[in-house]
Amino acid sequence: MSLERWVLHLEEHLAIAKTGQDPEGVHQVRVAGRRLRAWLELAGYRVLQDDLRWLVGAAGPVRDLEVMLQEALPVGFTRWLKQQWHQSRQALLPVLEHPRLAALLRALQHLPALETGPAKTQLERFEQRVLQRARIWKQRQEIEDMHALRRALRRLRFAREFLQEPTKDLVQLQEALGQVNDLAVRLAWLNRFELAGHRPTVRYRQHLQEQLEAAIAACKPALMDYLHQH
Amino acid sequence: MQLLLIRHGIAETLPHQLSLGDDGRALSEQGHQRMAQIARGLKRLELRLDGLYHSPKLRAVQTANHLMGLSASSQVTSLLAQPPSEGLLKTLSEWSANSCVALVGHEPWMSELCAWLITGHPQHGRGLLFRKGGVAWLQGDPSPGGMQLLAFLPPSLGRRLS
Repeated sequence: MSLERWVLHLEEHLAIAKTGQDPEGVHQVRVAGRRLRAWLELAGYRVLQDDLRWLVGAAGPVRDLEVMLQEALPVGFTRWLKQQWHQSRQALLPVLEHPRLAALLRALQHLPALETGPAKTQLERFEQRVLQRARIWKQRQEIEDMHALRRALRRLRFAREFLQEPTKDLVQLQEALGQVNDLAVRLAWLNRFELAGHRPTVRYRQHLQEQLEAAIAACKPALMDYLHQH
Repeated sequence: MQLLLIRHGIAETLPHQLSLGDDGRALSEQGHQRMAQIARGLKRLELRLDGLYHSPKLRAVQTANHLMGLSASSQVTSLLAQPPSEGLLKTLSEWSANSCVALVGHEPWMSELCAWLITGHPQHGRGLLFRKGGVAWLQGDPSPGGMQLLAFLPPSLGRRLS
């Protein structure tokens, strides 16, 4: 899809996100925001990145909670997550009505089309960033490095898609890293729940931690494959 | 605080797509070259921006983009695509006294804003010659009449500094 299509996608889903009735609204706002950030970098824009980051970041907690609330979780944890979702929605609504967002859309609607030649040069930076992140992770084996690699891979995939270049080599690693992130997000919310003074959910925590360890182990062959290919 | 008021660089006469209207006018090739030089000139003055606000019009977006090497952050605002307002001053007042912030906008509003901040009267802006890529460097409290003009840099001076 072109820049124009993604700006329209963002506008359409902002309207859905405002109603709060369909989780797809907030999800697609984040998807569009991230894709537009990749497009801006490909086009050599450093402006508007902070504005998109602000929007995507503000929608993050709502999205996390909407994903988690679709699952079968311990009853007390679900009740607390629902409260958190209401609070996160309340925090997001002023962002969705903020004049900064209207100005951002206005600016995005007027950007000229991508120039393929310079964009292909920029794409090399995306590729190098992924390789650098992959090497750091291989060396240090820290979960933060996995998250950084996942973000860099996602951005590379979006950038390649704008230039209609293949992304097949990224999919396996991106999916494996996505599993790790989903579990890490769940654990982070569980930590907040327990820090807020609620009864520890020992079995659920143990289950998540085991899944997380398995997901991290599953990433390693995918990473080695990726490094071998590049 | 220190405040840089910057008029966008030289722009094309027509938008890159006719349906876009004035908002879609891009910097011309010369506009890009000169703004890159002006940004280098400001860097040589060792200016470091804590924040950069710009109008959503394409020529201001592209001008601000040249200045991103000087700034820690940027924000788009429609307050710079309209006559200067209390809302804009309120935004500036949220920065601390030792901050350095830049605004990228359009005429006649940049001149009016400059005059408002220096003299308390926006209509005195008619006497200022704010050329494309020109920079007014102010210091003080961002309130009507609360700032002092430190320098008024025409684009040619910015380029010579580069």
